[in-house]
Amino acid sequence: MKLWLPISILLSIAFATIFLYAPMEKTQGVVQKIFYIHVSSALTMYVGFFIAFVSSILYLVKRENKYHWRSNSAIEVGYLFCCIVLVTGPTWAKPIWGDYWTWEPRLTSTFILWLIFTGYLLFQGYLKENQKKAPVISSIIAIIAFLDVPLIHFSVRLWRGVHPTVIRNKDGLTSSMTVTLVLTLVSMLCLFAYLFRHRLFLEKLEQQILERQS
Amino acid sequence: MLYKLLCFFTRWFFKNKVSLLMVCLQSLIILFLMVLGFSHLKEPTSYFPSIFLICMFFMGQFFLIESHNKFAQQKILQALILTGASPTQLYIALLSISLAWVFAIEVMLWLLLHVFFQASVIIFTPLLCLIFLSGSLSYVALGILFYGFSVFSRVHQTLVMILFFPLCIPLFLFFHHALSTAIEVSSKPNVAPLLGMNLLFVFSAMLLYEFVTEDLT
Amino acid sequence: MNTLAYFMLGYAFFLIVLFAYLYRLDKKQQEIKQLLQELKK
Repeated sequence: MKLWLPISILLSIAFATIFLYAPMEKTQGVVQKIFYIHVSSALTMYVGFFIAFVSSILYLVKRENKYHWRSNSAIEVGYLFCCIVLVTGPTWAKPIWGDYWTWEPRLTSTFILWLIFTGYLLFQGYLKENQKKAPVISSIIAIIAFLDVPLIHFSVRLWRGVHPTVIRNKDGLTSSMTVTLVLTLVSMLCLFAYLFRHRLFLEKLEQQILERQS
Repeated sequence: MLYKLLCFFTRWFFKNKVSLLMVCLQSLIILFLMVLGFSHLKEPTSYFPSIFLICMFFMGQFFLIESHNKFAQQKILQALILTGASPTQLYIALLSISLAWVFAIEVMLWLLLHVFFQASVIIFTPLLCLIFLSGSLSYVALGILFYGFSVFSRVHQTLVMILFFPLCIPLFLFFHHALSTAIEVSSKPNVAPLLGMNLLFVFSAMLLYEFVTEDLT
Repeated sequence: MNTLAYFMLGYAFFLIVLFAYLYRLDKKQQEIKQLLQELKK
């Protein structure tokens, strides 16, 4: 578990690149630099939920506990990144759009996703007491929740399509911006992997206790 | 077997009709509150889809909770599985009967909406029926899967409701879109997303229902 | 408010959440290890 050192070095390099190397955006100013952690957290969140989806299916097919632990840990860490996305988004939006929150498709769909996985984690806390069936139920929920993701995107787009309020003009990224984004994304994914591993390790330890107790 | 199951559930629903109907009609209270809030509007028809969806959501929840409560009390689903019904057959039978029930109450709610808001023309076309049916299909399909947890593993129903609501948001958005385009004369209704969603959810919920009921088979 | 303040706010939140989560994991790990040791005795 000495992985934290390279991870923190990588994160520091990514942060240094954001602060020092990435160019200042002309119209938005320094606040545009939230973009790097915002977008990379969002992508990491989807990676987390996708891992949970795949391992849930594997659990239902193979019935090995390790898959349940994986899906559980991936959702918890993915949820963490979801929270980061939901807070960094509005802090970026306030100086640019003038409001913390607008019912813009991407914001809305992330919010709904956050609600779903909040429900999942609440459920998880309760299911611990209900051990026997817990892995099956949480796998089913994770699968349905992930199937919901594209539908959420599509439905929200349809809904907002009726009343367009916010129009985002996005210029293409310059090459130095792309480099920074990729670097941040890689470090975020490494951070995810580290947290995921740590969480998985705890899950295994908890299982050992349960085995000893029984 | 499927035919027998369908007959059984029809009889069962008929036997318990009073309590189920009472529970479903609780949504009339919500409808009344909506009338209280929106009766001053000059053109309430454009708000019908939203009001209807709110009432329908609660009606569906009340119905699913009450019926699954009764299943748990009387150990009906367990008994049916032990007598040899496969989970898929059980699921299909339960889905079709619940859908018919929810659809009937929806039609009633929709008509009551017109009466309460004193609408000059009652909008009720075959297309609206199709939208009601396809909108409630995935709602009931997911509901049966999720409330199945509460019967087979004693998960509290309030928790199911917390989890169920955000999953239904896309369904409600599609449903709202389809309804609001259907009641406007000029626009063309868009039912395709609803049908696509039904296909995905009914199929996946049918596959997953096996895992909910697995301990008994 | 200055845009810089919002920018700082965003990054501060990211770091706070990260460290809070790490702290939580660490605390949980210690608790579990303690329990395991007690059970071994």
